[in-house]
Amino acid sequence: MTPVRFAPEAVRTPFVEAPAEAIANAPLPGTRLWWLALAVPTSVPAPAPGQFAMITPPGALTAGLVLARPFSIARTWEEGGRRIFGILYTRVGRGTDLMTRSPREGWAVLAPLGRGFPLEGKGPAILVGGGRGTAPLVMLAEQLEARGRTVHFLVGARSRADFAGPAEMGAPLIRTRVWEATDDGSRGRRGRVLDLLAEEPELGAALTANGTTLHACGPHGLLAAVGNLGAAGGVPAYTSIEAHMACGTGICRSCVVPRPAGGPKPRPGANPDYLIACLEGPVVPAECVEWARDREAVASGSLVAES
Amino acid sequence: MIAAATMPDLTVRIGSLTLAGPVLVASGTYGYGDEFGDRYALATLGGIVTKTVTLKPRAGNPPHRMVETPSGMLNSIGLENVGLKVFREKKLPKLAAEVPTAIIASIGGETPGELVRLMRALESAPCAAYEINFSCPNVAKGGARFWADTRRLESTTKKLRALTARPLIAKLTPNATDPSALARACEAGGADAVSLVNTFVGTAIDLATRTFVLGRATGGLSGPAIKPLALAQVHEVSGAVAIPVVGMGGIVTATDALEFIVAGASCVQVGTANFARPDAPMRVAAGVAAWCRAQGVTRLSDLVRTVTTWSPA
Repeated sequence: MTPVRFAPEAVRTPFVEAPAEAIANAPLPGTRLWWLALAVPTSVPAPAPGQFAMITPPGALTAGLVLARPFSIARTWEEGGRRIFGILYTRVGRGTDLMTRSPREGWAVLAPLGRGFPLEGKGPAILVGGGRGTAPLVMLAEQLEARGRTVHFLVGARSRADFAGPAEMGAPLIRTRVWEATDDGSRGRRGRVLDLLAEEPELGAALTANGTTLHACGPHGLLAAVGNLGAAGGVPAYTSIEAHMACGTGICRSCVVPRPAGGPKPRPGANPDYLIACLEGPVVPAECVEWARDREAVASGSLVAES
Repeated sequence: MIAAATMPDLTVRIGSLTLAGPVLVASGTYGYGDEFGDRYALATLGGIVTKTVTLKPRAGNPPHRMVETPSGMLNSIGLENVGLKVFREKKLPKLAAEVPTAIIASIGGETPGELVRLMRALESAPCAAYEINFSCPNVAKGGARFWADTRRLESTTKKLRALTARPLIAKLTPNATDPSALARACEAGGADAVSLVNTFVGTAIDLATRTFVLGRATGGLSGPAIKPLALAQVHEVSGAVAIPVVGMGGIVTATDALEFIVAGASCVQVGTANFARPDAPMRVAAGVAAWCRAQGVTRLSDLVRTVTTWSPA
């Protein structure tokens, strides 16, 4: 089995606090998902796949929202001398509700934050996204493809209303193979996204190829299942985790996720009991999380593929 | 020359220490001050209060540790910190070398003896003052309840006073029936200042699962939601003691900070606002200076506790 890559230091890339303008902010047609394009100065460093941004919509404080909110960056490009962050989001709470009603001007961004997905690997990369968890995998697919790796992008959702793959997010992927599944069959194959690996011979072959890597983002139950799959097949599995987060910069120590006893050794000086999602993640090897004690994984347990 | 003449005196005296300005960052909201490096103009701050350090490293409370609430947030971090050894040998020296403002070490203990040991160990380390965390709401031992005892506060402050010439700031809980009594006990014990408020105990419930959102059920409420409560306590306590009061509780803007000062605070700390905008304390500091200039205030200390009840002329 390929040894787990987990950087010994929680390296902090330089991040910048910057004003932003929403040059696009609209629902993706036929879905509950929204696509937001935020323009920031190019003084904000370009994010790596899997990194995230803390976003504050205009009027947040007046609306009683004191914290910024973390979002993974689905795509990034330059346009008109500015850097653009493409963000996928759903209206799930007060903050995202405000975002859907926000004007173009007056947003604020803190980015890029956290540690993203490793890009190295000699074999194919299998990307597994559940719901809006597909977002950071889009930039990942773009960069893996550019490195010449074979990419299988599994896009899963409950139904077509929650479905967003790379095409929906406007990614010009050329060689990435996109596989689709929804729980109700309203888009792609009917069933759970991980069922694709068992049912599609080409994916089964990719999973057992030499040098394959798994990359996943979505409900923690799905991440746990991807972790199990990786462990069973000796395939490194990198998962992008979520947690209640206040600062995004490692200061507040809110966004902790339990580490397994006897799991991969934390870097020297790190908290031995908990991962700090914003600092050591959001992308971590799946075996660094004790999913059975993770509240989100337990809550989304129905998404764990039966085995 | 005119500019110099109109530049207000914003310095603040706490014991033997003179702070360059009236805006500090609250413990636990700026890490060890090193996270942002030189990216922000930390020199405009009066000081940085570091994350509370305890004798041993602490892993902190189980998740969830934080939930946003209307105009505020609940936290239940549980004093996660690197412990005395790393703090003294790595964090403080780095801070002192790199950060151009006063470093105030926040210390927390489960017993008076632990605080004594911490302070003994830190006396040879580079910091300008101590803030004694007598008020963490999120730990089983040595938290706000334990320290909300006037005799214990006074005797412990006395012990610490005997160990150091550095200024001692006692951070108090707002979850007590008589905050002024706690402040007077610290003053009697020899504290140079009291800081308040720490967070208010609160909780949040997930109705769908009928579980507490926070892993440890309750947490501490901070942010603009508590500003009116904090202002009232700062005003009350500043009338009960002669030592300076360091005010905090939901400060986001310079206006908030100035309200605390006229209520009775000699200086203020910005906390929760730092999470959303790391440059929040610097904005507040700049705003306070600009307001003083615009109002012709020559000495910030002249503003302290100048609030009055309105009455017809």
